[in-house]
Amino acid sequence: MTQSTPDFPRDRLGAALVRLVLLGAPRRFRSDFGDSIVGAVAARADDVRRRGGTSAVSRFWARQILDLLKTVVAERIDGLRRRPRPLISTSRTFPEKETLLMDTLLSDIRYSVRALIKQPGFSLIVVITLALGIGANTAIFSILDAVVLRPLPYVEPDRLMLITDEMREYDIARAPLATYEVRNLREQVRQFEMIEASVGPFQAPVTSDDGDPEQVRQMNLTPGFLGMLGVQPLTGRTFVEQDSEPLDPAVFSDPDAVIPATVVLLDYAFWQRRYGGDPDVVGTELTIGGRRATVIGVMPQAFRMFVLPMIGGPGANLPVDLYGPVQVDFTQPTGPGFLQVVGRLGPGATPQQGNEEIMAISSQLREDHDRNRRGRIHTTAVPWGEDVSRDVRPALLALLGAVGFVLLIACANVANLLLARATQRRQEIAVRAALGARKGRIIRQVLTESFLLAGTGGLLGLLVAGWGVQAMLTLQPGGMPRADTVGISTGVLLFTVLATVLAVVLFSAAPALALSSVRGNLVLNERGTGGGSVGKTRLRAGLVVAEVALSLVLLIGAGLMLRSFDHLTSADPGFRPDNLLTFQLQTPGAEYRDPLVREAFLKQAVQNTTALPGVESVSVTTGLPLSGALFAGSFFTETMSAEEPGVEANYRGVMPGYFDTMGTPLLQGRDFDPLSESNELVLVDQQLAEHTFPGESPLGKRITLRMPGLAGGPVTFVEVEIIGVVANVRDDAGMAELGRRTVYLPHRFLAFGGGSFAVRTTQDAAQVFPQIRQVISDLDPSLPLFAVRSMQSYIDDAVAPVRFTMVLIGLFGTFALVLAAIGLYGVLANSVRQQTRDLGVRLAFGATSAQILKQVVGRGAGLAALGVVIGLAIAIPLTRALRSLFIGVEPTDPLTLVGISALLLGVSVLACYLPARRAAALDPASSLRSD
Amino acid sequence: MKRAQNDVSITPAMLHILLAIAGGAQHGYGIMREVGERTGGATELGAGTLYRSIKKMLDAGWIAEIDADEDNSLGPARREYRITVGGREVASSEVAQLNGIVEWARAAQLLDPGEPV
Repeated sequence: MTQSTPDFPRDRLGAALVRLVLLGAPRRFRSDFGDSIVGAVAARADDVRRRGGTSAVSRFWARQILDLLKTVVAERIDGLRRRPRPLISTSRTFPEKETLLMDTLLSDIRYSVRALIKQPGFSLIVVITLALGIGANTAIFSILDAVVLRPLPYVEPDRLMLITDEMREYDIARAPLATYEVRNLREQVRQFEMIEASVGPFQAPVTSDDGDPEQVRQMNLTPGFLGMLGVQPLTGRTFVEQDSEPLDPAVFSDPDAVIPATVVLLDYAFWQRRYGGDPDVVGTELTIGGRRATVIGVMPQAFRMFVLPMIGGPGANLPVDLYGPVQVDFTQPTGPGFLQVVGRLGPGATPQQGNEEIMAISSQLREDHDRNRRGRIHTTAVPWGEDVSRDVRPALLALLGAVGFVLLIACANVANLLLARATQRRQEIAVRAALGARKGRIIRQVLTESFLLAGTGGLLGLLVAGWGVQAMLTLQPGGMPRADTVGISTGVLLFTVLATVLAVVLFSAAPALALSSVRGNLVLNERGTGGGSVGKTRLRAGLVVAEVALSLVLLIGAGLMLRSFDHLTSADPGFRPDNLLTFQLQTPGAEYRDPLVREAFLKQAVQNTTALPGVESVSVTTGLPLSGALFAGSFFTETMSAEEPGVEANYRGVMPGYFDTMGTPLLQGRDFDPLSESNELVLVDQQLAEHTFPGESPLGKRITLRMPGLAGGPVTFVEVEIIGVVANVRDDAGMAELGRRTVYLPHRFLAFGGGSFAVRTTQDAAQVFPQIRQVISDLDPSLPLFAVRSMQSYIDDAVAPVRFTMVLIGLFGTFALVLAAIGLYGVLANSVRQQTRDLGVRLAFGATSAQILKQVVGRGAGLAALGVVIGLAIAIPLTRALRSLFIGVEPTDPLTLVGISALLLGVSVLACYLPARRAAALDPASSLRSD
Repeated sequence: MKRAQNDVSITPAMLHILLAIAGGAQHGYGIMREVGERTGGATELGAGTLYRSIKKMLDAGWIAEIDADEDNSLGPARREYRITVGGREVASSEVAQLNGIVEWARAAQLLDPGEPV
């Protein structure tokens, strides 16, 4: 086949699985046909992709792998049938040869079940250990599968590329594109078939003739967008050019504006929620932000739009309710960036080629356009699916690694248990060997038992996973995309099966070999004195050391996450979140178009709310901290020249009393005067004051604010005077660090269609809120009041991703610790049992109990210490590589390393103490008779 | 332990393969493509089944291997398979049998009489 075909990750995975399955085939078949099979399937996958797209390829690979599995099993059975016959059999034909094999298998299974039931405690512990190990792996994998691995729900999603601007001057990694940039791209690209754009999502109040007013999220798409994705509405039609009128760019500088739309498509969930899935919804009308719109269709249930965090804020991946069409005027010579742009690669073009082309066009734009040169804008394209999961991928991969460790530890523990049991079973096996059982048969018997144990563990593991996924999703950070699609899929099942098989291989290899080396006469002569061979004892000790080492790595990860979480939650947010209720109020429609009317209304609302009992103070802002509402600008001081790019800052509009209500300390100067109407006064935060006016008082200083494209006009400049400095507030960069510097302007100066209210209450907010709603409704019953939340909930959301990782790694680490302790206990208990006679002799010759205790504990502690040293050697480079997950703590944080090591050693000594005490309490006389 | 020719009974996959190489020798991928396209995608041969069938038919003497692509410098020489006289016989007797079934179906009016088979 052609060598130039793009290399798709799915094909690499598929080919790897094919090779893996082939490993199971008889050597002859593999060497004869192995390469041909891999080559033929890969070549055929290309055909299938060209004809049927990505989902067809997935089905193709799945079918091929299943087919190959069947083939491998059939070849194996053939091989067994042709095996040389036992000596007793002399006839050339074996009519019953098929039943012979089945009989052996069935008798193996029967024998195993009986053997396992005879030791219910042992079997139960093994099955539960495996179920938890496999279940935790399956749970994490099913999240990873839905969020990261599964392709986006579009046709051939591998070819969809997200195109964003990196604005190096402002340190912004992924910003939306401007209209003229899209025009240039569209004119020049060769690698792309289509380039389309979306705008939003916007919050919009919706009313219809037969429903309550509610706040919805609407996203607007260029008419070709859905066609490019290859998505058709469930019912109704998609957008056409005539659906939308050219858009007034003014709406983009207004974060609360609603783009007018005359037609809309409903999101499936919204259709179910508001219309109860009414099939006749197409053609009905609703009112969005004061404008009538006709419903033209409903999107399929699986359809979703993914939004850049830069555009959508922390809630970027919350569901969208409505999709409208937008016709962007791409002919404008310049303008701000507001378009989320997606392109579809042409056939045969690789993502790499697509990106190189976009970057080449971008470098031309930097020469031709002032905005691109000054902002040092580099436009790049990445596969859209990769971008959607990029913020959660590192944590999920780290978690998968962590549960992988847990499974390894679980397997080591089970191997240990099996080894211990193998020692006890030597007699039984020896009898079978003496009676003529072949080595292969004994190994098969042991493997059958292992598969039974692991199979039961795997099935239970699926239950554990189903439950674990539910638990994890309640913990998950709200920003995790596609969290609603997490489930037990075919891929997940396949993963579970692989994990189970891997577990069997890992934990049964050692016991199977140990048992198969048993020779009848030797063991039967052996009195159960010294027990297992030196080699086997070493093996068991080695397993325990590995367990301790792996648990240490996990626990160090957990410790570092705990420190990160502590760092985050103990950081001063710059406001007092307790008893602080917030909500948003929008003022759409013609009667509030005049900013003075709007402002007067908000002031009245503040005044009436403040008068309520239980309310201490109320104020309004254009965006609450940590809420994702941003207005980025830049300013110049008097000493800067106009040529300089200025100082980047966030702008926030606040009403008088805002800092007081929020509990943000005023450090210098004064707050806005409630009676003054001056627009030319601002407050700044401490970091801005220190950065821009180092060593001098910023009070009275004048700065010139650059207001980018406000109200649709060109960039304007406003000179203002600094009247106060307030404490730094955690905001756009989350709780981890200080975000951008902030300028606080008078609210009316920046306000558009409403504001966010902050209410400090003296009692339970839940009791006060109904009255607040009543007060607002008395002023104007048509206004939707939404996003009613405590300020604490914004902090909780900001730390949710870290909490998610911390809780899970902590859970896995604890599990690992318990397993390691059990393993250590088991090994020592076993060795004490085996050495009963030796210990008895020592006691008889005058050794004290204390000496025996010290000896046994010392041996266990020695193993644990070795595990700790090895664990540290693994953990230090590993946590360094995962540095991005930890916040405010060094990966080599000595407190964590020493503390966790001490914890693990302490638990180990405890686990050793119990068997040691038993050894010390031995009665020499009876122990000598113990055989 | 060479099996007699009549030891192997023909499977649907084998028939598809024999049909695919009846017009000329093909390598494995070629057979998969031919089968996929001829059946309009209705039958997609699994590579495992394909090579297991090839192995059995080689043993049975229905097909033979030829080393083609001697000038193929891109990768390992791909083996092609051609149909033997024996293979032709097996395939045509199987098809004749199927044809009988089709005639029967037509008589039972399960098939549109004008429809090409």
